[in-house]
Amino acid sequence: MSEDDETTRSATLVSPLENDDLVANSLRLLPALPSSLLHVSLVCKRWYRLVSSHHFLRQFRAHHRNPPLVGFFSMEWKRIIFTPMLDPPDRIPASRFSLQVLPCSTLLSCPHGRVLIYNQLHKQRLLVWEPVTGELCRVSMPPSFHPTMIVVHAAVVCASTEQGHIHGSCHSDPFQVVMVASDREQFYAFAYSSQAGAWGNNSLSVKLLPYMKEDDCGISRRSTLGNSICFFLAGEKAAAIVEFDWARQTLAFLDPPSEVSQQLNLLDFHDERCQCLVKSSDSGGLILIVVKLFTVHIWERTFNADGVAKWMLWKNTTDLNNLFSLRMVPEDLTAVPLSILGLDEGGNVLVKQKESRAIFLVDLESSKFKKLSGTCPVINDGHPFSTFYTPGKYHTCILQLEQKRIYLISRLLVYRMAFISEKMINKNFEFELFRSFRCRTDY
Amino acid sequence: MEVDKGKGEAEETRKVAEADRDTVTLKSSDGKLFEVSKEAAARLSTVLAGMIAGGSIDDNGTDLKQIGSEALENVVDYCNKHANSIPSAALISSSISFNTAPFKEPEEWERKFVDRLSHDALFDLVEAANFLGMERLLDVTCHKISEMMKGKSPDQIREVFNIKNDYTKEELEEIRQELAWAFYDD
Repeated sequence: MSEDDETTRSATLVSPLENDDLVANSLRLLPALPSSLLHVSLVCKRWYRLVSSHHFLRQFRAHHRNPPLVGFFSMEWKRIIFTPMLDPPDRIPASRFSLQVLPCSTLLSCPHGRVLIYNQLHKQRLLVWEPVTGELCRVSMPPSFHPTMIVVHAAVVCASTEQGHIHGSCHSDPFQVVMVASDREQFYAFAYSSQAGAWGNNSLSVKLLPYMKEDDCGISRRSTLGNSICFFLAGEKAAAIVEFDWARQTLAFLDPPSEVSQQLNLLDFHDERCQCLVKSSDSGGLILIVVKLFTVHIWERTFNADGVAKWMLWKNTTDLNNLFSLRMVPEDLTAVPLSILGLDEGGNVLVKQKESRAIFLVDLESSKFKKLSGTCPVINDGHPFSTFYTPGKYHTCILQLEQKRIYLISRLLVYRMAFISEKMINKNFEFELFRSFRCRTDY
Repeated sequence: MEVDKGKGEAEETRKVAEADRDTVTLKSSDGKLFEVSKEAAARLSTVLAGMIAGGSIDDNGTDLKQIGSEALENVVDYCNKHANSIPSAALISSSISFNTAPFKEPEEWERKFVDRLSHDALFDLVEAANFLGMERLLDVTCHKISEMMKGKSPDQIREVFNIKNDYTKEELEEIRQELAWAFYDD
C-alpha cells in the first residue's frame, strides 16, 4: 500500500466491521437457517452479543418474515418424534426435539414455535411445549369441557402485542390456547390466555347440522390462520367450513362454494381423491383449496359492497402432476399419490408424495414450489414445525425459566424461605432444578 | 467519471448551468472531482438529497472529506449506472422467494458491480454508502458481505474478515458441545 493509499484510507471512517450497525445490517441478511447465526456468534464475543440482542433478532425476523421449516413432529406411542427436514449443518438432530409423554397423547398442532399436546385418558389436560427452550406448561381443560366431548381442533398461538411482531421465536411471549370441541350435538369454542392463567368466560357454541352427526362425516386437515382456527367438514353433497375467530369471538359455519359442496363425494373425500384445506388470503380473507387427485382449484371468499360473502374461483388451475414433473399417469394409479399435509408459517401448502415421501412446499397462488431435501415421517400426521433458531435466546430462556420456578417454589414454601434462598445461590441446586424440569415426563 | 477541467472551463460551466445543472460535482477526501447525475444522487442518497435541497452543493466540488477517491468513484459509478438501469419494477427477483421481505435481492448488474471489488474497496464502499445515506447501495454491499459469510464455519469467517478470536478454548468447547449438531463440518 503506497503512502497515498494510506492517507486515503485513514481519512475514511472506521472499518464497517467495527461499526455494530453495519455488521448487524450484513448479518441480518444471512439465511434464516438455524446454523447461520450460530456460526457467526462463535466468531467473536462482540458478534455473539450483537446477534443475541433483542434489537438484532427483531431485525433478523422482520427481514425474513417467516421462520424456516425445520422439520416435522409426529406422535409415537409415548414419544413425540422430530424428523429434521434440513441438510447439515442446519439439520437439527431428532434427539434435540424429543419429548416423552403419557400414552394415548395426541399431538394437536405446532404453529408459532409451540407444540400443543392433549391427553385424553390421564386427567384430561393439555401440555404446551416449547421445543427450543424445553419449557413445558400444563393447561387444564376448560371448566365447561365435559369428558364426553372430543377436541376437534386446538392450537397454541402467540399472543404477543409487540408492534410488528414476527412469529417463530415467541418463547417468552404470552400465548393463547384456542380450541373447538364437540359433544355430537354442538361445537364449542374455548380460549385460554397464559397472561390471565385462565379460560375466557365467553361461551360460544353452534348446533351441529344433521349430516355432521353422521359417523362418516369427513374432516379436512386443520388450519391455524391469523386470528382463527378452521377446518372443512364434508358430508354427502353437503359441506361447511367451521371457523373459530378468537379475536372477534365468533364460532360459525361458513358455506363453501356451492359447486364444491354439491359435487362432494364422501368416498372421494375419505380416500383423499378430494382434499380440502382452508388458508387465509393476503388481505386476511379466506381461501379454500380443493385438490382433486392432481388438479387444484382455489376459491377466494370476498365480500360485496353490502357485506355479503361470495366465493370466487381463481382462473388459473394448477396441475400438480405437471408442476412437480411427476409424470404420473392417473389411469395407472392404484392409490392417491399426493397428500396435503397442511400449511407452513408463510401460508405455503405442504404436499407429500406418498410413495417417495418427498415433500413439496408450494405457493399455489404463484405456482412456485420447492422440493424439501428430507423426507416426511411414514405416518400421516406429520405436523410442520417452523422456528427461528437463534443464539442467546436459549440460555436466556433457561434463566427466565429458573427464575420463574424459583419464584414459585419460594412462594409455595414461604416458611422455608430462608432455606430456599440459601439454596438458590447454590449453583448445583439450580442445575438440579433445571435437570429435574427438563427430564419431567410425568405431566 | 473524473472531472479534470481547467479554471476557464469550470467558470464556463457555472455560467451555463447554475441551478439548472443536471449533475453535481463531488470532491473526495484526496481532492479528486467526480460528476454525478443530480436526479440519481437525490434519489439514491438521503444526504445528497438534503444537500441539493438545502442549496449546500458547491459547483466547484462538494467536499466529502470522509470518502476516499476510490470509494467515491464507485458511489458515482453506482449512481450513474442506477440512473440508466431499468426502473424499480425489475428489482423483483425472478428466483423462488416465498418471503417478499422489504429487502430486494440485488439485480444481476448490482451483483457484478460489488463482485469485482476487493475486500478493502467493498468495505470502503459500505462506509461511503452509510455516510451518504444510500439505503439501496448499503443493502447491496451488506448483502455481498453476508454472502461472504454464508455457509462458512466460524474459523473460515474469522479468516476472511481478519477477526481475532477472543473466546477461550473452554468457552468455545462449552457452546460447541451444546450445539454440536450445527458444526458437523468442523
